[in-house]
Amino acid sequence: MKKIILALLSILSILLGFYQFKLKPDQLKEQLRERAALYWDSVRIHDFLTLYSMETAKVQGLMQPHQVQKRTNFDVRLVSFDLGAIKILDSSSAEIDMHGQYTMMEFEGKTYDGGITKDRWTLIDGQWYHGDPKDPAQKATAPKGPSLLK
Amino acid sequence: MSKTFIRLIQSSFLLPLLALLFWANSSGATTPPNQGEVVTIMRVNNRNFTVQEYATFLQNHQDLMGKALSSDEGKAEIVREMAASYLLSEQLFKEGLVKREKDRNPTQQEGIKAYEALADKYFPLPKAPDEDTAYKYYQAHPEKYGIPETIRLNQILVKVNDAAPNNLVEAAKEKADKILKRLDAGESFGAIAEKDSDNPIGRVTKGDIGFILLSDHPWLKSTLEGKKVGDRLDVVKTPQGFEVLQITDRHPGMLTPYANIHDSVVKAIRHEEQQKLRYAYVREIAKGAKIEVLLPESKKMFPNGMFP
Repeated sequence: MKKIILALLSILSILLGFYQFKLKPDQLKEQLRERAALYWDSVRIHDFLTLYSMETAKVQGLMQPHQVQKRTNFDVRLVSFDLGAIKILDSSSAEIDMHGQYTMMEFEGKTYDGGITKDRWTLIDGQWYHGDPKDPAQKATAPKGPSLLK
Repeated sequence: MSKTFIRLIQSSFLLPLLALLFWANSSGATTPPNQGEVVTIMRVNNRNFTVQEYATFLQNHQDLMGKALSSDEGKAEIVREMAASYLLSEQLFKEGLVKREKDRNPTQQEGIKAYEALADKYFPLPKAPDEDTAYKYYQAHPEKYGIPETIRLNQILVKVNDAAPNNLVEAAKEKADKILKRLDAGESFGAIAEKDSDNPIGRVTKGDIGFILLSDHPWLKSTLEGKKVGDRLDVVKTPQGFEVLQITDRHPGMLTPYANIHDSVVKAIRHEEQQKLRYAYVREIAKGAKIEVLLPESKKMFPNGMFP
């Protein structure tokens, strides 16, 4: 019985993998848009656990929990964002435009336009993860607004 | 390249010290070169330190940037470190570790070697701690070695300084109590925060200050004991004033496995201990120095002197 269940699970996982490869570009884009919305909302609210779980580097074993918040600039706060055009680059990578509005304590309640960030994503086992797979953990793209301090 | 040398290079305090070393070489110099309108923050042994130098120093201390922007204590820490670095650079000459030459500044390599010798003599890098100490340090600093426990809050802040007169403190408390009554009467948290919170970011986010690290706010930990997600707290006195808070989410912490981070923990402990020795040494040499804070708004940042 155990062997049958294992065999069924194996077949199911193969089918699921096949299904993912067969996802149409529009479906991939829609899936990415949902993931990117969750990711950037997590940046907005400083939800480090969710951010960590969504990083390509984490999935690759190149990122440890303590590296997540070190990348966060606590002084600049993402207030809101819009997700724009998505470009599927190849079978496992894509780019989405993220347009953010930011604020800082010193801005006395005003926001500023952070422009458009070209945000890279990687498809791993049918799921989109944030960042480029070739980057080592230390160089993974940090969520940040433009520096106002230079 | 020796291990000590690498450690010194890694020290965030070394590079600014080297810059100050060049200035310290020219005895009697009172202002740094290339200044336009000069605003002086402090004077250490007749050497003036300007606001522009403060900014340059800050660029070399990116790790202190947040502190500098957020509080007077952070600004004071940077000014204090500037003074410490200068006193140490002077000490390199006094100890004969670098020579004062009229026509040339010490090279970077000479400066590093001299600093290394000074450190070895007066504030050497302590030995590695035992395993028990290292593990306790790791557990006590989840903010360094993982994602600490976080809590998401809605906040309405009525800001009042701790040092404010009683009538202002009472007025702030009264305002916070009235806000609580408005919430009880059914007004939306977001609407009140947007209009009445003294937290500029909170006004933009309608009170949602996102997840914050409990380790950054020790006073909050006890306040939240026994509270669950969705609970609203009564008016709380905090370092910022009076706050009305509501818990909207809570996440447990997640530490990086100890084995993966062991070397960093040991390095951090040794560095911290060395910094304590360095501070004690600087405090000693500062006793024989003349340190004046000149900028009026900076004076209040040092109620107990530069190196208390």
